[in-house]
Amino acid sequence: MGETPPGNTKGALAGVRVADFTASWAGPHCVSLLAFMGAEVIKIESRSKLDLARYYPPFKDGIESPDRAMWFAQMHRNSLSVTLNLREAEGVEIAKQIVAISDIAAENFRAGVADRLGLGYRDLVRVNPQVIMASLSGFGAYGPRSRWVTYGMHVSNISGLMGAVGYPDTDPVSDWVELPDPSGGVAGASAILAALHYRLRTGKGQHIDLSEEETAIGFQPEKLMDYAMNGREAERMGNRAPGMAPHGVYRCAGDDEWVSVAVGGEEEWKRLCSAIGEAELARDTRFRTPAARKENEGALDEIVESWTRVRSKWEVMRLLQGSGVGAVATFTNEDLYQDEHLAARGFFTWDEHPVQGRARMPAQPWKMSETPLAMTRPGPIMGEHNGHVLEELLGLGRGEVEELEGGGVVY
Amino acid sequence: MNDRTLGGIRVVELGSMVSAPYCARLMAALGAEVIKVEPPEGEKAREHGPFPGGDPHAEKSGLFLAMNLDKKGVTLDLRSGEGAEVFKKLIAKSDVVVENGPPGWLEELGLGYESLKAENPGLIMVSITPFGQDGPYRDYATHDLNRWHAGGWGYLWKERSAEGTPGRMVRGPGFLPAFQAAYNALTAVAGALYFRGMGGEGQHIDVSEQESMAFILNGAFPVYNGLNRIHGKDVAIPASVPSGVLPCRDGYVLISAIEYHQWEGLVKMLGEPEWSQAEWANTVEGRRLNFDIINAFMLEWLEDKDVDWVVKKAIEYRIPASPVGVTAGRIFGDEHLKERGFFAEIDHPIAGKLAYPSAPYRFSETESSARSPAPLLGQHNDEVFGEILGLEQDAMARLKQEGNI
Repeated sequence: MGETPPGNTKGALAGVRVADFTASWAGPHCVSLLAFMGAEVIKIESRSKLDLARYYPPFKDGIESPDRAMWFAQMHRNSLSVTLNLREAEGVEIAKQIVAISDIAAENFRAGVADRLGLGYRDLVRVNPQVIMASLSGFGAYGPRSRWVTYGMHVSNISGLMGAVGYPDTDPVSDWVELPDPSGGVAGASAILAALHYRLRTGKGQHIDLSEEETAIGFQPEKLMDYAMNGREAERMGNRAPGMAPHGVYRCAGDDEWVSVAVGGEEEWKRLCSAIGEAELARDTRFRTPAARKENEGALDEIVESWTRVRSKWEVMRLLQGSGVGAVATFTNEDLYQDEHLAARGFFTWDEHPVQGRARMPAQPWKMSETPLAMTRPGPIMGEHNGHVLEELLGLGRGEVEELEGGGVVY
Repeated sequence: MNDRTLGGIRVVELGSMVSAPYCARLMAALGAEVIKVEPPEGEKAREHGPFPGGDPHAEKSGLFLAMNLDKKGVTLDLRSGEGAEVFKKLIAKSDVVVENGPPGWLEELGLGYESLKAENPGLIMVSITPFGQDGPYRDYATHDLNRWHAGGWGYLWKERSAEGTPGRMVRGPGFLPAFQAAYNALTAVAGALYFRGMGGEGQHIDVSEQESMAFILNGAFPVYNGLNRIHGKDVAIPASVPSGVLPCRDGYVLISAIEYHQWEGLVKMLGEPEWSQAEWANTVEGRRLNFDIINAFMLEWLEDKDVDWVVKKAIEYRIPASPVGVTAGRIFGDEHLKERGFFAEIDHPIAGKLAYPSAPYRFSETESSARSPAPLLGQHNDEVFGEILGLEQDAMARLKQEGNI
């Protein structure tokens, strides 16, 4: 069964255990944040219904296999994996035993499925009265849309998040925009930890019903308030923004290379003019006031782009930042990997995976001075920690586990 | 007070615009006592709008009102020695500081984490900035659009034609990096509160908007590690067919059939057209190669149908689907959200009665909805400086006279 290396024992959540029933993105994102902070996350998964991320490309060396799924490995660092078939009553019973020795249970089944499996809050409270259970779903645990099948990209639409994204002259934009998954995931993590704080004080566990849709609606204050106050709907405006010009993405030297430039206020406008060597621009009547610049934004964009397109995006960023103008290159994944700033901050760490080998992955969405985040384990191979969890933690005998394997329960 | 999730926790917010204010707003919804400290002229969101009728008014900015529900508001000039002293007194009686000023600004005022920790050894402080507290870009000038591009999202959101061809880049709705960072900050603070509750130290937390966005790039890093591809640049993102925004009679719909049973559902919904019986229709790869056939059929099938009808039908067949271009009016009128009690109607003494989104979670034991409006500028000066800090009337009068509060 092999030795299970300790997790992040210096993390803020060292000693906290999570029974993780989640799959695909929102749920795993949520619990991974807990795992990075030192919680012992036990992922309960099964070949009888593979986590979508276990068969999501790319695969190491192009060979399709659950243990070669690279995105899964990135998302499940620090987690343990135990394989339990929840379609078998015995599998559910063992899963409940894991919940009984955990502080937190997390799931992102479609609303109602956990109850049907016998893993609803009422079931879990029976084995662990203090458990904190988080249910993450697209639309929440109740309400007319709660049973809808969905993905993050649809929550992006239904929440209105994408409602005004796009250009005025072409079709609206909405395709594979899964932002509500990680946003709902981190919102879930924050709620779980607030509940953990509450339990520390009162001894009471509870159930959390998180809606990804509501998380995304919370991100639209300007759009919602303008409607509430003025009955006005937001309009698609590409990369532009009200009251600011220039405000756009401009072509740079090279193939499909870009820079974002945004200028707010008179001072920044004057700095831009002198930085691009067009000091007289500031006196040009077409651009003398913010309103004038907005009105002649097309002409202004052309002037800015004629300057950017003969320079690399890095040169543009360096020159404009040197003058205090909001300009940042459009980073690709490769740019992020090679970026000196992220390197200086230690954003990426090396991961050593038994099947996938060495790979560099983003490590830290934040830094804590006393309880550093730490990556102590690669993403688990399926059932890697069956021995540790079933035998050492739950006290099952080796023979019992073999029998469960034979019967398709540990699967 | 202790019946709330974060009951008994006092938070001091030094925030402007979105990231720190939203983080603190979520804490307030969870029951923490949040004291928002603004400079005497008020923070920037008060000038941002949207405003009723488009007329700027410091107490009517829609952004400010929505980001600052459930808080107490005080004014304090931290640049004055006396203001800084009062601030330290407040810190001594608080648990958490949330701030989003430029890196180093509090140190310059003699109010950096180490100085504040001297007043309160258990203090938890979180600083949210575009690029973090250190590193070569920490002092870069940025606006929301720049942070989006710094985080690697520029290449991800693009126009895409019904034929699947990517077009121009497009920005998301405003402040997404700030919102993502706000939730990261809240999660880190709650973790730090637990650690402190277990007998650990207080600490300083450093949240970067760039890292918050890069961290959730989904497959961008695996795609590079595994396929050596530049994400979004030379990879067409869709992994299934159909994909993209498809026109209906009265608008646009997004339909996705990723898992095999969803594909089967789609075929049934379309009336089992002839091509669906072909060998290639059984595999993802086959469907991708015959994208044109499927797409042409769907475009024709959708032509005379309404978006809402198509979405309802698709859901019946267990195919994920959604309308594109959902408006604010539709969200405010939505039956599902009404049943969940998501919008809280709250009366503000100057802006009047408005509906605001609550926090996105319901707790079985504790309440998490919005209760009270954003504070007027300096509304709670007397309560906070007088009752909580115990400043005498004449001391307060002097602070007021000198323009410190």
